[in-house]
Formats: sequence, structure tokens, C-alpha cells
Amino acid sequence: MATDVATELTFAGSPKDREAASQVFKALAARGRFMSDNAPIRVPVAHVAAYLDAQGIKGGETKVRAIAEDNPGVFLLQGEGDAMVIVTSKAGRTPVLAEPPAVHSFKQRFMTPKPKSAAPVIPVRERARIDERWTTLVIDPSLIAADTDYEEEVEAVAETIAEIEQVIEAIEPAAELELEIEEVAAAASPSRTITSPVITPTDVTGVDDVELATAIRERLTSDPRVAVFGEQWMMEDRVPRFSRGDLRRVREYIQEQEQPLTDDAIVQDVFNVRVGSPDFELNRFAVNFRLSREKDFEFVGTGNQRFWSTTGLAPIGTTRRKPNELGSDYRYLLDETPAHIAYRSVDKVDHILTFFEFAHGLLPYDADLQRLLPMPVEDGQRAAVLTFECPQSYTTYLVELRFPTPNRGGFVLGLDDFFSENLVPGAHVTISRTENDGHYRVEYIAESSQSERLLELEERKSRYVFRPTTFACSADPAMLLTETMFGRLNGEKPLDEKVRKRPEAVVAATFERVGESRDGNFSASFATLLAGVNIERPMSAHLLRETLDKDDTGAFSRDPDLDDAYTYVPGTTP
Amino acid sequence: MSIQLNDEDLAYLLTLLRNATQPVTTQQLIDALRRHSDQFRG
Repeated sequence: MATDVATELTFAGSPKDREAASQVFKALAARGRFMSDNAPIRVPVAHVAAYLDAQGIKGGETKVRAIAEDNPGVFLLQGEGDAMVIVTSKAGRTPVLAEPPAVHSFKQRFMTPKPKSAAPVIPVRERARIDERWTTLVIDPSLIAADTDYEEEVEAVAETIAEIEQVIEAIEPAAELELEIEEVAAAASPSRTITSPVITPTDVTGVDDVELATAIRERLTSDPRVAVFGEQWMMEDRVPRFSRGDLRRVREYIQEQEQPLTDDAIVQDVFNVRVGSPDFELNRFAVNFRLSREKDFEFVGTGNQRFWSTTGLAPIGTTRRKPNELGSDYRYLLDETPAHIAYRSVDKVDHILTFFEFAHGLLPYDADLQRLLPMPVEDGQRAAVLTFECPQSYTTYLVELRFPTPNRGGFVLGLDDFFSENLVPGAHVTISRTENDGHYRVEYIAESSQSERLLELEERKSRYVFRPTTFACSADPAMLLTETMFGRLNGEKPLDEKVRKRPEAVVAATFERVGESRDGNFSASFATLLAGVNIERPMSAHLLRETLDKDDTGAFSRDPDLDDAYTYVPGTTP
Repeated sequence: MSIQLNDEDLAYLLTLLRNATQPVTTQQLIDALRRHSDQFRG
């Protein structure tokens, strides 16, 4: 490469001088063979002279300087005396030896501190404007006059005090005089008294607790600062909050247990707060209050036993009929229940099981049961989960109380197992309350074991059959569906849904199934009819009596030959 | 004619709740309201 450049270069002087210059360039180029084309290659003149001497070119340093001076485009001399160097570049051009610009360097950047930034301009704060009404305030002149009088009065009093003090100095102070001074000073006191209207607490003497509780509820419920659940109150900002993750864990735990859980269980198992710890009550309130605000959770508890349910849980009780259909079946209870009922006002309720109740494992939420069971804790509460304990079988059942709605009656679901294991249709059942408004005892009257052929619904073929049944409980003979009394039901199919929705049509069908045929008419006692109609649909004695007595078509009428019996004329079905 | 609580009663109830570290029952509020009313009337 250096050789190529050396052959291309044209040096000045004689052929010997040009040869010498070429030798010098080759020597310098060899020295800087790893350097860039334009980088300066510096070699002392003395060294170059020694090289030329070795090559047989005489003349020493003078010769080298002469070569450099003759070829200024290729060589450059720098320095003086022994320190003189000859400079060139690989490209064969005199290198530009300009000093690099020193305006910027890393050293300078690292060593020189950054100048402080100028302080931002603080915007001028807007001054609060005084309400314009103050600037247009009209001052009553009489008040100004009064103030003037007041100042004069103060001056006069001060003069009086000064005079009195002079007298005091002259005469020995007397107690009466001091008193006078005090009175005058008090009269001249410039302090003003601002009286604010005093609101006295409401006189609650003679007001009963129920009325006072209503007043408290009315006043505090609307206040967003107050948290309320059931009969407990707190300031909202003091109630612990739950994260999305906490709520998810509660939901998953309830789903895992496959049944509604009480607030106690949630606090202990999900939040790991022990019963009896100082925070237990607070956390329990937090669970109830916070979950009541979440749409994924539903309160299904009572005042003492606060159950929480969530989405995805299997329903409690029968799946033969939907809860809405059962509610429609029990719609008649809405008319039979008084508007104002005293909840939990009775200790126990006796009930005779009907076939319909036995088959679906339910009880009607009639006036009797409403007097025994608790009222809804929350407004709009749909259901309450209760525990029914049977001390005779040492079993506790989780049942669901469906509260009535404006167009559906209420009922208690989930007693299928208890009924089928211990009872038969017509059995006497007693439900009694405990201290806990969510826990009840359900009992039957145990008797010696007996066998009867009793009515059953064969679900596979969807027809009624009689099967030998052994039971050991007391039962009402009129409601016991034996083959001897209701034998004609054998092999019958359940009534069509459209027919069973109409009580009068069910009564007519029941006459034909259980009544005694007499001259083409059917006659049956009221007790038999009651047991018979309750095979197909729930019907109270009151509703049955009303259906029979208030029939406008003339299909039903009292049987004059029998005590409390009715007849039905076929063909005039209502 | 049902009874209605005034602003003084409300302020008293809120003070009670603000000072409470545990949930307060309705019965406790009723008792406190009765005591407050009696104290004022001597």
C-alpha cells in the first residue's frame, strides 16, 4: 500500500533526490503502517538520516531536511535541533496539524458542575375576592352614633376612674369604694356577648323503644357517614375495607363449601380472625356491611345467624318444582295472612303434613309459621337460610325460608330428607323456636311402628301408586292417604298443569277421585276433600271452604245428609 | 304523631359512633339517647 502510494507520488529534484525522497517516504509509511491515512507519522530527522545512510544515501540530516523542504506537499519539518522531526501521512500528504477544538471534552463535562437551573417563575396567587355584598353594605347611621356615644362613654368612665383613683390616693381605700370602682368598670366593659340559639335534646321520656328505634333509623340511615347492618351501627370510615382479592376469596370459599356460610365462619376461615379476639366483632360487622354492598353476594340470614350466599350455589330443597312455581301455588297465603303480624310471637307451631308438602319437602309460610319465624333483616330480602334440628334423629337440616313477594306466597324448603326418613303424609309435626332466631327444633310424635299401603307418586311413570309403608309417627287418620280411603287414585296420573292452577278445577277432579258416587253426583266429606286436593296442589282449609261455599256455578253444594260434607255435580265444572 | 330527632340528637349520636371502636347496637343508641335527654333536663 505504502509502495503504491510512493510510486504514485511525484517528488521534486534530481533523479537521485527523487529516489532519496521515495526512500524516506517508504520508511515513514512503514513506521505508520497501522495508522489511518491522514494521521501524522512523526520520525526524528536523525533516525531518517541514519536509515538513508544505511541505504547508501549520504548527506545525513542535511539531506533529509533538504528532501523535506523540496517536497512541502509530502513532508513537513517540526521542532528545532536534535528534536526536529519529519512528518508525513500514509496518504502522502502533509498532515494538517491543527489543534483539535477544545470547546468540549469529557473531562470538562465530568469536572464542571451543571449550572443551577433558574428558579421557575411563581405565578401570582389570585387574591380571594371579598363578596360584593360587603362592599355594598349599608351601615345604619344610628349604630355609628351609638358607637360614638360608646366611645364618649368610655372616656367619661375613664375620667371617673382617674378621679376615683385620685381620691383613693388621698384617702384610705375603703371596701365600698373599691366595689363602686368595680361596678363602674363592669358597666364600662367593652366586651360584647354573642348568644347563639340553644338546641335542646328531644325529650324522649314516655317514648317507647320501638318508636325511638324507628326515629334513629330514619335519621341515621340517610346519613352516608354511617354504616348500618341489621341492628348494628358504626361510622363508615371505621369499618375495615376489603380488596377485590378478599371478596374473591370469600366467594370461592362459599362455593367450595357448597352451601351458604355464616359471617362467623367467613371471618374465622377466610380472614383468620379468632372468636374472642378484640377485632372479631369489628370484622364480622365489616363482612356483613361490605358484602351487603356487593352484587355477587346475597344475604340469606337472620338477626342471630347471618348467612351469606353467592352465585353458583346449588339450590336448597326440591328440584321437582321451581321456587317461582311453588310461590305461585302458595299465592293464596297472601290473602289469608294479616297485614301486620307479630314475628316470633309464639313459641311453637303444630302442623299436619299434606301429601304435597311431604312430596316436596316443604312447609307453607302461613300466618302460624310467620308468628314463629323471624322477619327479614334487610329490606327486600328474598330468602333466609335457617337450621332445623331434629333431636329425635340427631340431625340438623339446612332449610331455606322464601319470603313472600307481592304476587307469590312464602314457604320453607329443604325438609325432603327429614320427611322421607321419619314421616308420612298426615303426620303431626311441631316446630319450636330457640334463643337463636335462625335455629329451630322440629319434632314429631313417635309411636309404635305400623304398616299401611300409602299413596306415592311413581316418578318414572308419572302416576300414583299405593305401596306398603312402615312408619313410627303419629298421623291424622283423615290426612293419611291409605288405599282403603283413596284407592281410586291408584294408577291415576297427576293433573295437567293448567288444571291444577285453578283450585275449583282441582276440587272437582278430587270429588271424582275420592267422592262417593250417588245418582251421578259425587259426595265427600270436607276432611277427605282437604286431604285429596292437597295431593295435587297446596290448599288450606280456608281456601277449600271458600271454593266450595262461594261457587257461583252451582257445581258444589253442601250435602244435607252428611255432617260437613259436600256434593259435586259433574258437567258443571267451574 | 311519631317522634323525630333534631340536629342536637343527631350530633350526639354521631359523636357516640365516632368514639366507638366496635359496632353499636340500636338498643345502645336508644339507652344513650335517653340518658342524654335526662341529663339535660336534670
